Amino acid sequence: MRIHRRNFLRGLGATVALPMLPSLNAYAQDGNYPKRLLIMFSANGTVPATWIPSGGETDFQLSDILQPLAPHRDHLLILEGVDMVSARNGIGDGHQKGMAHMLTGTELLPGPFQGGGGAGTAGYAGGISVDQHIANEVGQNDVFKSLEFGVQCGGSNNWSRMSYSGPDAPVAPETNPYNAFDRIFRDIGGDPFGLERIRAQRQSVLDFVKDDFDSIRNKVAQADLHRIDAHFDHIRSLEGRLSMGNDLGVACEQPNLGQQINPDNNDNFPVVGQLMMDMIVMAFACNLTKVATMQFSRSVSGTRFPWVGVDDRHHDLSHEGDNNADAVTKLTTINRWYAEQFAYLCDQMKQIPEGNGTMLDNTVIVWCNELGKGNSHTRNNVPYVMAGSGGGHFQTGRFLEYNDDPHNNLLVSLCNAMGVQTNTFGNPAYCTGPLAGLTG
Amino acid sequence: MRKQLLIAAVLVGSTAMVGCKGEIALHSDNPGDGLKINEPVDPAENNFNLPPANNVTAETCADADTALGQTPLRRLTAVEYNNTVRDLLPGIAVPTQNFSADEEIGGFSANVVAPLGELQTDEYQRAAEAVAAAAIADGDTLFANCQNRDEACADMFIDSFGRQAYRRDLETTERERMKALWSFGNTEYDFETGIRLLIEGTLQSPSFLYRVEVGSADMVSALDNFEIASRMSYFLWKSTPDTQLLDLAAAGQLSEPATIEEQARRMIADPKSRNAINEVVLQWFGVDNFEDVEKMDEDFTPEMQESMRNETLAFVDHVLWEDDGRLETLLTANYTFVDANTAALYGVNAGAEDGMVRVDLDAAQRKGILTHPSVLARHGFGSMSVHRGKFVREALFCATPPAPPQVLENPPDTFEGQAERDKAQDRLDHSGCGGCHTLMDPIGLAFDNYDGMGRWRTQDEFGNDVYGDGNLFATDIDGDLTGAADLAQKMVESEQVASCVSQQFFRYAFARNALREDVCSVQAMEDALARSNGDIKEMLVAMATTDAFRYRRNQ
Repeated sequence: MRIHRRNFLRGLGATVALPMLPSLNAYAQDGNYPKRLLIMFSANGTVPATWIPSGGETDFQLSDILQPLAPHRDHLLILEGVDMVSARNGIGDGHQKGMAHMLTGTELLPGPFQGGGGAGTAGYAGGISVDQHIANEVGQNDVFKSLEFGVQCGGSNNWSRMSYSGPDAPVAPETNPYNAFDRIFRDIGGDPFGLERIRAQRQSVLDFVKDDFDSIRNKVAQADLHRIDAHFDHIRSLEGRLSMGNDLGVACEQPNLGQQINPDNNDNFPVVGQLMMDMIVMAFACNLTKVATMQFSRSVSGTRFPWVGVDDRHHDLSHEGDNNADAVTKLTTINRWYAEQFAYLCDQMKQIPEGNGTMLDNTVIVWCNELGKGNSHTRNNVPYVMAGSGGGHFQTGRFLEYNDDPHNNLLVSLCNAMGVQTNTFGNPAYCTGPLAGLTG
Repeated sequence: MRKQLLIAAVLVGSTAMVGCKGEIALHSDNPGDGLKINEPVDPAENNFNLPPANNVTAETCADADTALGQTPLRRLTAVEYNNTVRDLLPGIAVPTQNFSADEEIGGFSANVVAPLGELQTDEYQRAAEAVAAAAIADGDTLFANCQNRDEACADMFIDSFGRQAYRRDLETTERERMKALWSFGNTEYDFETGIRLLIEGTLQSPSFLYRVEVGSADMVSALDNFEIASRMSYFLWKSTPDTQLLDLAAAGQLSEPATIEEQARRMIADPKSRNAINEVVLQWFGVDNFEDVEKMDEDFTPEMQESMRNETLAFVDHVLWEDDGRLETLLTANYTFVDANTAALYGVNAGAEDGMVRVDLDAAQRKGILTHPSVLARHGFGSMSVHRGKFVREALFCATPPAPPQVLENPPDTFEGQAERDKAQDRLDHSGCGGCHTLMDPIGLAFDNYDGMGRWRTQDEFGNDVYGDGNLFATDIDGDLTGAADLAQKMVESEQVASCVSQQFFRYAFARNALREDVCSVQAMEDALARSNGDIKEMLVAMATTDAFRYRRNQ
């Protein structure tokens, strides 16, 4: 069987061809497809009045913002009333807390970033994020345990990082599609003999580097040692990748990203976003990873959306009063555009057959936000939308209304959906088990 | 006579810091009347950055024990990496390497908190391979000192390149490992491959990527000479030490403050210092890039952004390296440098020439760096008075307003066409917003005569009249303001501003805020600034001989 869909990943500015992998065949033959998790982020809260669906659990009507998801209605879970209870605690300003608690469910650590309350500064998140925890459990044998992609995500600070490999250890998203491509595919498609030589040379270099780490370990201060050790661990996984996926070079094609554009230019935000989403779906399809994040901008996002007629900066708009009709309309437009991106991911996954269904059936996509609503900085009623049942774990096609259920419970449910058994995630003080009602 | 302890002045301000209460009136019937603070605010939580010094005062610094805060392990920033590689491989065209974003500590690039991730490890591998390939491609330059490309050449290369890459003499085992890596490539492939692998490995080594400082079991220990050389070169050049510094370090001469001062003066005279320090000032004012700045104004093109940055860069460069280099000049000079783009913003004639020309500006409308379009545009977005005011308080007074409330129900209503001054008044009148916005909006309103691009205006885009009345509160120069030029002039007299300038460069140099233990080090910088009538370069030289610079706190 050969799955070859040159057109399925057609972005605005580029066509990305699907590389062909033997492992796909293996999965196709035994009908056992991997479960995947994809977390999508957009910032600054939503407009509750134009986000909350009307109607009941199964007869709900999609709201203005969620209208683009109509074709995927049966695959959706829309959650209203889930609160970031954990983010009522600890240091940090509203956005910092929302961003850091979003996937970790625990308090921030002290640190140097101004904007927080208390001592005036705050550090990074205080625990591992759910995507990284799941990746540790399910991704050990994958070429990439996880992939973190994004568009214009900002600098390395607690407003801009949502994925954490541990306390104070943010995972930076790749925001350059060309570097992302190079990282994943640079060794694919070359001649196998040349690749073998490159790998032998890299191995010798990494051996040298590892020895240097050994000699430096007893020289750095105790407080800094964890950074040296984390670096060393990544050198090891770089090394591990040399011996993995040997088949890739033979079977995978190097995709074409089209004409190079500046990924940091606001006007290119949608094109870059689509390239990144294309590559995530492709990485899933190629079985390079099972866990990915797609981060649009950052908390306090100042993105402008002229392609849908909104020239104002997102964060400025989000601070306008609720009675500013112009701002409400524009914020609705922005969030509807993000709904279109979420729908695009669903679309792409639906085009990849897996068994009797599609990739979407074996995936959970979660759309997160660091706030419920921008002008109040509330982390209550955070607008969560999910798609895909995770191989039948979730019962989709429903709109669920909660009352102050902690978002840590949702993080537990994501673990469970991915086959990671646990009853708690994040700070257990803010967690009571899996989020009720998701599995039907 | 010993100057008053400026840090103490800041700290007095800090204890009087406000909570989120209090009222202020932004409107007067006559625009010239200025602003009125109706009632004093409650002292509450402060978050000035410099906590009180317990036992040490300016008077006792001379006799005080060596003391300093703990400086974290630093990984090279993107700029430092590229500068370092350039200086390691002189004469070779090395392509600039891109990396994912650096951390910023107090606005200055520094990688000191987060461990790197797999992505960055990949980036370092990619960069090392690209740099090594470029080096090998220019073998004539790389091996210019070799008679033949043989083992003797490799030995020579390891001795020079290895020493400079690790910024110290190599240990025997390190040298052997480098030789072995070269030998593998040389035997399996060829001489050039051996050197290429050696460069790749060296550039991915922690000894290269981190500025390693070996501590001791003591609370405080003196840095070794090579570590001082590195601190000096990354402080003044954002790059690796040159041979002269390494040789002095090897001879043990950098323990002497007099030698350090002499070297600091030599380094400041080098163009590498000019580039590095200019960039620091640009980061201080937030205008090193406009990547996260977006505007509705159609004139805010990438070319305009470049022109804005170039104006401030040219101005800073001129003030620091051609003019008198004084803080007062930076804050109040009435000249600037424009090209065709920025000339249009000022409404002046750029002349017929391409490139930049010096122009004198209307002193009533423009004064120093704060009224540059770059600075006004960078911090003039959304409710401009908030962001501009917050910037001035943080960057020039080193005081951070408290964070917004965790949850604010019923935020003030706004409507299209509302004047910024009216929005600000609503914030100040709002019980949940007023106290803290008192610290920002009244400063920002002094800039109300500049639009989001930094053009002078007398009406906003909705036709509302604008004027520059503002107010400074909880500083050492409290009082009404009549505009940005007035603010800039008043800052020259502020000891809090002078202290803040020292603290900003301290943050840059050590990637951390000054702590109570650093009080004498900051004091030495302030003294140098005062003694030299505000010469910023003299402050930098003084910094290189402080305790904070020459010692290391291990716990």
